[in-house]
Amino acid sequence: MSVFSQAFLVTWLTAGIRLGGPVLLAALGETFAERSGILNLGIEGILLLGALASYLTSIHTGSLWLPLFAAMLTGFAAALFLAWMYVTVRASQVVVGLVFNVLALGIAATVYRRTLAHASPGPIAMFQAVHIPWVSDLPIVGPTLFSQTLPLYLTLVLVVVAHFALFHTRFGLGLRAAGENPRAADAAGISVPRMRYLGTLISGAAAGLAGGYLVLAQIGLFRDSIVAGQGFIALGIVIFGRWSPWKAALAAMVFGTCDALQLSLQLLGTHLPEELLLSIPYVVTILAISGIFGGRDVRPAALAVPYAKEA
Amino acid sequence: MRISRRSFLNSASTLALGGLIPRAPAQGRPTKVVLLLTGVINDGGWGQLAYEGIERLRADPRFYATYAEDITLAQVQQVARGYSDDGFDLILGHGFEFSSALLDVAPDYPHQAYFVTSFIPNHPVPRNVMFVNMGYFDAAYAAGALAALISNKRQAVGFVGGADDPNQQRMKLAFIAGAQRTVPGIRGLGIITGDYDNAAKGREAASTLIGTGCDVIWHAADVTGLGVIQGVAQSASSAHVKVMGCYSDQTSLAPNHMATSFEMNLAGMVTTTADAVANRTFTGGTEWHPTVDKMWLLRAGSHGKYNPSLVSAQAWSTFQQLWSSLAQGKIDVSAAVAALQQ
Repeated sequence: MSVFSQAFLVTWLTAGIRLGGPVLLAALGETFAERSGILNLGIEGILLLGALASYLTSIHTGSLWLPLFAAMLTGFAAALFLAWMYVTVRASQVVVGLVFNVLALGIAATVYRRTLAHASPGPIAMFQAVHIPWVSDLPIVGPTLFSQTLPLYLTLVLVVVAHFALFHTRFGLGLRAAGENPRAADAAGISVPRMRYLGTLISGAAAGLAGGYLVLAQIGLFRDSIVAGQGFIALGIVIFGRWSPWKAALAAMVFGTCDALQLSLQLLGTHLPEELLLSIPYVVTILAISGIFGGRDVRPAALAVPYAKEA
Repeated sequence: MRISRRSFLNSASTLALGGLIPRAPAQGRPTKVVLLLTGVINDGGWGQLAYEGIERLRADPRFYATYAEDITLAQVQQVARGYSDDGFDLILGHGFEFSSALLDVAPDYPHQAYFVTSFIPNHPVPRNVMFVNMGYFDAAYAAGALAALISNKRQAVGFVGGADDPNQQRMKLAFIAGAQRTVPGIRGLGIITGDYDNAAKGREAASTLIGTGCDVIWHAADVTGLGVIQGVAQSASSAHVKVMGCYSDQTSLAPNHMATSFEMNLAGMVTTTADAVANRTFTGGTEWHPTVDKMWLLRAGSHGKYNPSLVSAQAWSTFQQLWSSLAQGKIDVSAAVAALQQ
């Protein structure tokens, strides 16, 4: 098999898009939080809680959509707590977010062990790849783009919705103003705390949903280590995507395909050290977020800066 | 070098009491055992199986057994020292990550025993530290051979590894050697994912191997391996693809695809070591070499040792001969791996 063969391309690109899906969903939500001025580092923990909620709901209901809803609701509830800490208490966003991830791991491990660890319920019902007549049979793009699961298509629809909401609505304008210049936004009658609450809640709901996506469309199991840093990767994708949903989608797919490329290249006998191949996605992401290729100017100016209205 | 009177007296008393040989627990007090893990006890594999050994010890009144999980690399030495200060008779570090930390800590507690589930390093080790060769490479060679024997297409079989460490790299090579030597003409392939906890990546590694023509896949990647099993079960061409489990019996995860599982007898390793400390037969400074058939058990849920709808009787019979030869040391896996590397 060579890198130009159809089998190689289909296997690589399909895997890459699948790997990019949950990361993109979490990154989309985080874009809203960061555009409002909130650096929500707690999304790694929210992903884990969402994954657990979807797994437990699936075991008890056997449904596919209800677990996704449960994951979203769990993410929303966790984000409500985080938003209170970030916006109302005005605690350090970095410290709260990181500590929340540790707390979430503890909660997930405890709940899982108390409810299921000894029951060994095994895999749950999962979303299957959807075969779309005609287009799924097209060479290369058919299996790559049109034989994916519904959560991936839902995520792609959300990219369009997110772009429209952020850049073509009054809500989006207010949210971005809260993240760029909260004092000016306040003077213009925009409630900065409200915008920041909404941004964090959207981020939490999306991260919870991404956890559900991971379980219901990719793994079908739960272990308290399954998120494996994907929340942190989503944070990198937001910067890589220059705080834009479209670019985040592109960035997530670049990351996913780079991640999948190192798997495929190992089978080609390239004689490159595996350490080098394994580092490809991370090197690409680090270079992209480093600012070497521009993009520093689009970072929300008031990101991670708590806001207090002057008396 | 100045030797203080205190250090001289300490050294003399240590020698008089038998050097660095661990002392048996005081009469009437249970042997205190702690299992240290960088992972978790419910991972369904590596950590869980060792923890089952702790549970067995808890049922035995001769022992007081506990565990500490999710220990970060930065905490390893501090945690090991803490349990040593608390007077634990046996401190089991589960994984190579504990090797250097326990080697540092052990000389300060000469009457306590330390056990690392990893290969012995190339330099001398204290007499209260024991290592173990768990027959990874023999097991990987056997897995490669069995994968080749049960392959329907006889084109390619695949291995998925976890972290990019020398052990996993060598397991990959042993798997490939086992496959290619057992069924000439078949290709052995391997992917190292770089991660033991990324099930999503494990799934894609399986998909990549299937896309390359593999119809039997074995993993040694812990939680990442759970994704490998799902990757086989969810693959569009999964009807013809078989998977083999590792570390624990994973039949329930994909009953229609799981040919067998190479289960590590880690619980037995924990209880045997604890017994040795309690009975004062623990021999530190060495590497324990259990044979592959004692360290690895073949399991397939209610089917017994293998799933007969996925493994033919003839293939199993051939495999049994190879398994027996490995246990008797008649197959030189190191030589097979070296030949592959040339």
